[in-house]
Order: sequence, then C-alpha cells, then structure tokens
Amino acid sequence: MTDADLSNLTVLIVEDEPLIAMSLEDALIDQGVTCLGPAGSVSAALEMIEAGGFDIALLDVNLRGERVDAVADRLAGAGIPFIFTTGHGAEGLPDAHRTRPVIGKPFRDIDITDALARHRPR
Amino acid sequence: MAQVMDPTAGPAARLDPPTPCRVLLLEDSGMDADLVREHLLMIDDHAFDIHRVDTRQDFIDAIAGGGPFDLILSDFDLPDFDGMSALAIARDRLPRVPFIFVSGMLGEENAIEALKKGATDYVVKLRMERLQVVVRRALVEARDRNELADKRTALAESEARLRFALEAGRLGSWELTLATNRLRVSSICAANLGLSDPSEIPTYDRLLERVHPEDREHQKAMVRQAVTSGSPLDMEYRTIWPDGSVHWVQVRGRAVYDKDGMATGLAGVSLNITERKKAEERQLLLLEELNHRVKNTLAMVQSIAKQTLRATPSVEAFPDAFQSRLRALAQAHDLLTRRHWQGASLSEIAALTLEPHVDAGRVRVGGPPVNLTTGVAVSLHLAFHELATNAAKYGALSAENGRVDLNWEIAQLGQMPTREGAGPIVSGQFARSGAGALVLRWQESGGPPVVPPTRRGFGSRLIERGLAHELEGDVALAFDPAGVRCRLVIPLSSRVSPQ
Repeated sequence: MTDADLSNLTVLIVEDEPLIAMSLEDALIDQGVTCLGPAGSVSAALEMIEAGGFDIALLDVNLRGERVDAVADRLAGAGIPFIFTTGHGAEGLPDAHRTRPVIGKPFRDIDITDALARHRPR
Repeated sequence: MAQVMDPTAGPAARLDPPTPCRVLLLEDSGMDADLVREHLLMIDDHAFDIHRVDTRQDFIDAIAGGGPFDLILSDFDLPDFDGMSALAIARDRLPRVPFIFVSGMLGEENAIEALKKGATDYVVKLRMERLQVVVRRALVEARDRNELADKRTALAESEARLRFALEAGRLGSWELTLATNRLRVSSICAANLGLSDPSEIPTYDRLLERVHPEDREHQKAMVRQAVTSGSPLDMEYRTIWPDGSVHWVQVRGRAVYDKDGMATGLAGVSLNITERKKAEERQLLLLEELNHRVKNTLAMVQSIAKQTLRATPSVEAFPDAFQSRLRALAQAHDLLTRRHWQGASLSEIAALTLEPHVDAGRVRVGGPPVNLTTGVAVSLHLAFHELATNAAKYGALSAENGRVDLNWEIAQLGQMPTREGAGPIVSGQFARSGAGALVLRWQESGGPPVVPPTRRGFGSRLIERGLAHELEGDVALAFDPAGVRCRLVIPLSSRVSPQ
C-alpha cells in the first residue's frame, strides 16, 4: 500500500503539537493530499468541521489537556470518517468511538497514508 | 497422685548435686527443730538448707529480708506468736511459697481453719513420718503451680505485646465461627469499616453488607476458598462507610481446625489500605501521563528529524542542526521539570536561549511578567532557538557590533500594531477574545545586510506556521536588509496570561 491513492483527498488535521502537525502536513502534501488545519483546540476543530470542505480527519485524542469526545461526536454525526492519533493506548479513546481506527504516536508516514487510503470515503 | 508426688528429676539434675531447698522453720523448741531436720534429711533427691527462727520479729525479718524460701514450716503455738498470724503474714508476703504446719497439737477445727486461710498442709508431731510425703507433695505442687503462673504471666505479656503491635500497625483482628456464622472483631477492625462499635458486625452477613456490592461475590468466594482449601486468605476489598465514602481494606487470615481436621472457623487481621490504594492510583496516573509525554516527545523528535532533513542543504549539515534542536528541546524539558510542569514565565523562556548573549551585552530582553503554559513555553523556546541560531550564523550575532532587542508588552484591543499599510491585525479568534494581546518583537540590528532566504527553512516554518497556529495569533517574520524582524501578536488566554 506504499503508493496508496490519496489523490483528490482533503484531510482535516486536528493536532495541538505544531511540530507534529507540520510533519503530518509534509507527509500528506508529498502524496498530493490537501491539508486543512491544523486545529489545535476543541473549539477550533468544531469551527473547522462547521466550515466543512474535507473528506476525512486525523484526530489527536487530547488537545491541550482537553478530551476530543465532542469533536469525534460531531464528525460521526456528520458522517465524516476519522482516524485517531494518540500517545496514549486505546484507553484514552472516547468511549463512544472505541471501534474507530487508531494510530499510535510516534507513527510512520506510511501508517498515516495507508490508514487514509483504507478509510477514505469511496 | 503417686506420680505427681514423685518429682522426676531431669538428666541434668541427676548429674549436678540438687540445689538445696531453702526452708524457713518457725519453731521455738530446739528438739522439735532437730526432729524436723532429721525427717527432711530422709527425703530422697532433695537437700535442705534450714533457716530457723523462734520469735515473731525474727520470722517477719526473715520473710522480709531472707530467702528466697521454697518452703515454710511452722509450729502452731509459740510463746510470743501464733501459727495463724505467721500464716497470714506469709500468705501476704510470699503467696507462692508452700506453708506447712508442724505441730504437737492441732485440733480438727484449727486444721480446717488453717487450710482455709491458705496453709498447704499440716503434720502432727506424733506422726512426723508424714512430713516426708507432705513436703515432697507441697514442693512438687508449688513447682507446678509456679510454672503455670509463670506461663500465664508470659502469655498475658505476649498478648499485651501482640495487642500493642496490632494497634501500632493499625491492624484489626477478627474471628469467624463457621457453624454459627458469628464474627468477633476488634475495634480497629470495626474502624476499618467506618464503625465505632465492633458489635455492629456480629455476623459474617452483617460484614458483607458493609462490603462494596461489586466486591461482595469476590469476598465470599475468597473466604470459601480459604475454608475449603486451607490456603491462607489474603484479599483486598472496598467497603462503604456509613457516610457513603469508599475505603479499601486488606484482610489476611487462615482457617482454624478442630482436632479431627475439620475447619471450624477463620481468623486473621484486617488493615485499612485506602492511602496505599490512593497512592497506587496516583502512581498509575503518573505512569500513564509519563507514557503519554514520552510518546509525544518521541513524535516531536521524529518531526524535528524529518523536517531538519528536508530543510538542510546537505546530509553533512544534518547532525549539527538536528542535535542543536534536540538540545533546545531538552533544555525546555529541564526548565519545565524544575517548574513541576506547571508552565513557565516568558522571561525564563527567553533567558533559556539568550542568557549567554545577554551576558555578553549583545541581546537586550525586557517586558512585563507573562505566564505561559507548558505547550506554549516549549513552542516559544524552540522559536527563540531558531531565531538565535539564525542570528548567530547569518544575522546580528554573527557581526561584532550586531545587537538583538527582544521586548514585549501587553496591548489592548484597538491599540494593536498594524502591518505596514494594512489595518490592525485582528484574527477571528482574537477579535472575540477582547482581552488584549501579548505583542512580542524580535529586532536585529548592526549585522551584515540580510539576504532573504531563497526557501523557507525549518525555523521560518516553525515560527510562521506552527507558532501562529498554536498560539492562534499573528506572526510576521521579515528579512529586512537592516536586520531580521519578527513580531508575534498573541491573544491573551489561560495559556498566555499577564501575572
């Protein structure tokens, strides 16, 4: 899946650590992905979901100490797929979204691109 | 009785000459005293050391100062004294020493009275041959009695020590009788369940009512297992106190068996381990937090590596640039650890990178006190590191007379600085906050003319993209020929707040 087809894909990055967000952007832009964000807080993420214009989201489970349950709920409600990124184990996931795909930090670029290819809307 | 009367000397006693038995003899007649001595000498396996007194005062003195005596033999009638008074004195002062009357005439009534008052036995002089039997028996019985008393004292002392240890260790003790389900608990055991009165849990069922409902089945299963398997009971359970608070108890115990090997009960100790449990929970939380922080830091290191690799012109230039950024990250962690990860002040963060240059008179830093949360502190530190590294390589700090000014102020909305030719900088987020902003300026001067870079490096990107996003503020980085300028306008929030 190294050359996963990610063309014409727009991804919302929800990540509070700028260095990690930048590195995600690099990896995705290299693959021809359009990036939105990064949203570094729950309120910023909710605003960007409201504005829309993306196909799938990468969602850090904790933004500046705040849990992202509300962001996950909103995405799920809008029928937008999303992938959690986390430094915690699976325990840190919002209870209502435990079956969603999870990528542990630190991750390889290929983990991200593979997951996006697998879970992007068809 | 024959066996009891026949003292069995141990092997050691046979090898050594017997320790003489010390006798206090109250007898005014020398002839009678000799008679007594002769009869005592006829007793096998015993030697006697006889101390004779014949007056009241001598008797009292002997009892008070003499001895220790193993036996008191006393006449019943004496010129200035009488046997019953001697008996009273002996019972009062030496209650453990056998007291035998040896008397010429002792009526039945006197004899009964004497025995009632605590005399061990009596021998009438007409039947002096009985003395051997009576003395032997008295000595054996006294020895047995004394051993028993010693054991009782030792047991009481041991119990007292045990109770002290239990209390000192805040250990409660309990005992369950299986046939009746009756429970006996100590006051500490009751206190561990939040009760002041041990009688509030007279049965095992009443105890179970105090156990947290989620732990009840486990509690019962463990007790059952300890009874049936004979393995020690060792378990922890939660208990709900009458005030509704939840506490942790640890119990340890063991089944008690009858002589046929049937379990009749269970006995053991209980301990309030709530504090330990809380500490364990705190530790677990701390470990999880540490794990999270380490993973996050590794992800940051990974990002720094990838982006440094992208931005460095050659592989040779990579290690230096990468290591210098890692060092900066480590410095920030050191500072934040010293501040218990509760954040840092802006001047501390500025000093972390710039202090050597400030000391050299090349950099001026100034501004009002501002508190930063840990995330903001790390990002600003990395930004200062990039600016300072650039200044040292190409900018003001690379020339002898170059200077850097880093200053900041708190500005209210409406007094916001403007970009050249444009209106006030007010991002969406920021206009709403209305609380003012931190305006921070980096200004280089006196360095070689600045040539704008052909492509944006890691530092520029970190400042212009990363920092701007993270702080939800406005960042202007200008490669002015007179010197690099950078201005950050960061809306005040709980993450960036004046002191």
